[in-house]
Amino acid sequence: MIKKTIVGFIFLVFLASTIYAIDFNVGLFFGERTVNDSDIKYIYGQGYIYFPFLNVNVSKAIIFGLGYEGGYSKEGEIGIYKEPASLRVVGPEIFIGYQLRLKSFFPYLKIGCGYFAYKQTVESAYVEEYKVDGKKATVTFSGGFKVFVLNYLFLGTEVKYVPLRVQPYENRVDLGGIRYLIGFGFRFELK
Amino acid sequence: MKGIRKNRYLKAKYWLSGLILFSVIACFVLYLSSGNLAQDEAKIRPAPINPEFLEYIQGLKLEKWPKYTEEGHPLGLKPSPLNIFYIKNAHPTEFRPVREERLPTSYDLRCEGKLNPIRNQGRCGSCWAFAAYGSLESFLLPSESWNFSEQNLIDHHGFDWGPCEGGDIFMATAYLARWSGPVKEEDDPYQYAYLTGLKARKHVQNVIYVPSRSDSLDNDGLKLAVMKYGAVYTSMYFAGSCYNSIYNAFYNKDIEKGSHAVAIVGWDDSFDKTKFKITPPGKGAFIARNSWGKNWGESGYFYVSYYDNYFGREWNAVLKAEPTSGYIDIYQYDTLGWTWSLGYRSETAWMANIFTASSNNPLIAVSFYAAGSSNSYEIYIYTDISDEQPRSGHLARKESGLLVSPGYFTIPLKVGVTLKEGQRFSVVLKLTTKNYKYPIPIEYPFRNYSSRARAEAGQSFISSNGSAWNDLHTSWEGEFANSNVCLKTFAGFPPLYPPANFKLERVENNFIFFREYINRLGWKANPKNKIKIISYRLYRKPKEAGEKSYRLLEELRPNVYSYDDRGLKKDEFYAYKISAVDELGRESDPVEVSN
Repeated sequence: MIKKTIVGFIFLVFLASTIYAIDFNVGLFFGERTVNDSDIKYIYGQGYIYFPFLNVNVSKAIIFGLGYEGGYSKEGEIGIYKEPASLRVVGPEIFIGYQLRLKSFFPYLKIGCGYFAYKQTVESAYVEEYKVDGKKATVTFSGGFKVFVLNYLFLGTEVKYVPLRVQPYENRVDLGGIRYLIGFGFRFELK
Repeated sequence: MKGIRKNRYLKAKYWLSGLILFSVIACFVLYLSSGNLAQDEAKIRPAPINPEFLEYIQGLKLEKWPKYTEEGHPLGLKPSPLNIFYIKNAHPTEFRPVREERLPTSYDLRCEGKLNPIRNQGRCGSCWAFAAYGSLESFLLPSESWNFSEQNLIDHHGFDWGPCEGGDIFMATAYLARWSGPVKEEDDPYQYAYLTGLKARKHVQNVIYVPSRSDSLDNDGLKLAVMKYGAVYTSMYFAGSCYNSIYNAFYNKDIEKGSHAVAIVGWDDSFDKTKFKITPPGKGAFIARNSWGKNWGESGYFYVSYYDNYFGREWNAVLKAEPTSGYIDIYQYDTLGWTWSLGYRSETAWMANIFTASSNNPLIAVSFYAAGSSNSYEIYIYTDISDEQPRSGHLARKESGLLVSPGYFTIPLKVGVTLKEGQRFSVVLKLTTKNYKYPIPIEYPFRNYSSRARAEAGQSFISSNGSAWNDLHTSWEGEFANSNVCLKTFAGFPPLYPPANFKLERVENNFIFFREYINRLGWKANPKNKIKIISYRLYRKPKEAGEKSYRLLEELRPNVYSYDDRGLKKDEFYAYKISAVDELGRESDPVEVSN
């Protein structure tokens, strides 16, 4: 509940900040994510993700933004009977960051809050009563840079770490990991 | 005319002479055969009776026999009429270690999962029943765990003594061999109720009499029996004055008379001799299982010196059991079993019983007592016999073999003999008992022991040569009128055994976010089964629930030897039973495991 309140608060701050926005960026990053949990890594493996985002620069240094991490939906064979299973981890994220403007090179650091949904399905009649379908808020840490190749077009890369520990049943599972992203975006100046 | 008359006269004369000669020869033949019979009758000799038994019977009125120890512990062993003297110093092959075989210096069935919890005989002279079932239950463990009813045994042994007046291993053998038991403890708990009509849960078809120790260090036979079969029934003299309660150590230096029955469950060659109340000449002790509750001794167990003067020096026995699914019909007259022996001054004798088939089930086994340390036998089955002629009719089957220890044995026939209901048949046994000239085991009505034994004419026959037979009931001026030969036969089908090596393993199936718990069951085909198995039936009940809670979980194909009971929670535990089903539709006794 506290985390949801924080997420809501940051989202409101983001909306308020748009009043003072000097420009905003729209972009699409994609890349690969790692998985902290060794069992998940063994059964489902790492996976490709995409991350569309919108961020607002309220000053030359401060950015607010939101995005959506999707794409991690994997299939595997689970348990001693190698039964078919799938796992999906996706979720929206809002963030605040600090960036430097060094001519066309914009390095930045961000901290955010994600609200991830995770769902595992196992095709086994023996475990039908176990539903793994939950949501959890978490902080995110990221850093990267943008390079403006044109006045309105940039290329960027980012490394993001998301800790995400969940425990829907007896086992505590770390769904978190590092994202390695690359992508492009557009800048729209408002003032 | 005269010539014709003379001719007729001569013919008549020749006819008459021929008739007289024939009569003389016939009479001579009859005389010879009757002479054979008479000779056979004359040659018969009963075995010497156990002097301890005679002393006991004579002293009955004086109540000289101890019922309790000085401390008030109940005893209960009574002497049998069967004399052991001939078997001392005999070392049957079965219980002789081969040269390369070295017995361990210590061995304890308590560490082998071969013993049930200690029982308490209370104030009743029923030690012999507890010791007998101590052996039988141990034989079945660890694959089958049974608790048999001592109460039913002491109530229904059929001998003259009352339930708490004592007994011996032969009374237990008789009760079990005639299929009166064993019944389950829960069917007839240890309290006097005299319940009847209870079902025998096993068929005891073999009881091996392990020869007595000839001296203090003649222990290999007993040790081998413990290792091979489990707990061994034995008899001992018990007195508190010989018992050191600090070390639970017992040593009887002098007395040569039994009063108590226990079961041998192990040994320790290095057991310190100073731990006994009176120091014996050397170290070493057997570990014995008592029936005075777990608060006595070392949780119900104690140590008896190898140098004890009576322990293990009388009849020792291992009781073995089979499933009840095999033999269906039992043909027998000797419901009180072996109480005496007869012989013709020879190690070899013939005996026979004549029966009438009660069903169409084929005859598949024959059982008898063999008293020698080595016994060779020939079995003959005759069908459609005429009265009082055991070897008349059609010879349907002949088998022979060798038994390498004394005991009560069931010999399965290699090929069954087809019978029709109402058909008369005989079982004939030629038995040679090494170094023992009384090979014929009989049920004899001893006063104050087996006086309820009954027999009729045309049932049991004995012979020195297999051709001239005496009916026990009618011969010897009625001395054996109520005696029968201890020779049983069984009809039905080969016994059906449960699967072997039934095991349970708890397995966790990791689904990352949660775990599924699995009871993984495994078993093997029982190599003793001689008939085709068509399925295995697996039953399950919650672990703490009663026996009646078992429900069929799955019927599995005969080539399946494992089953995973899936979808269990962490705190969900079960007990399982599995049985084999054969092509005749019979279901074996189950074997059980639990978490």
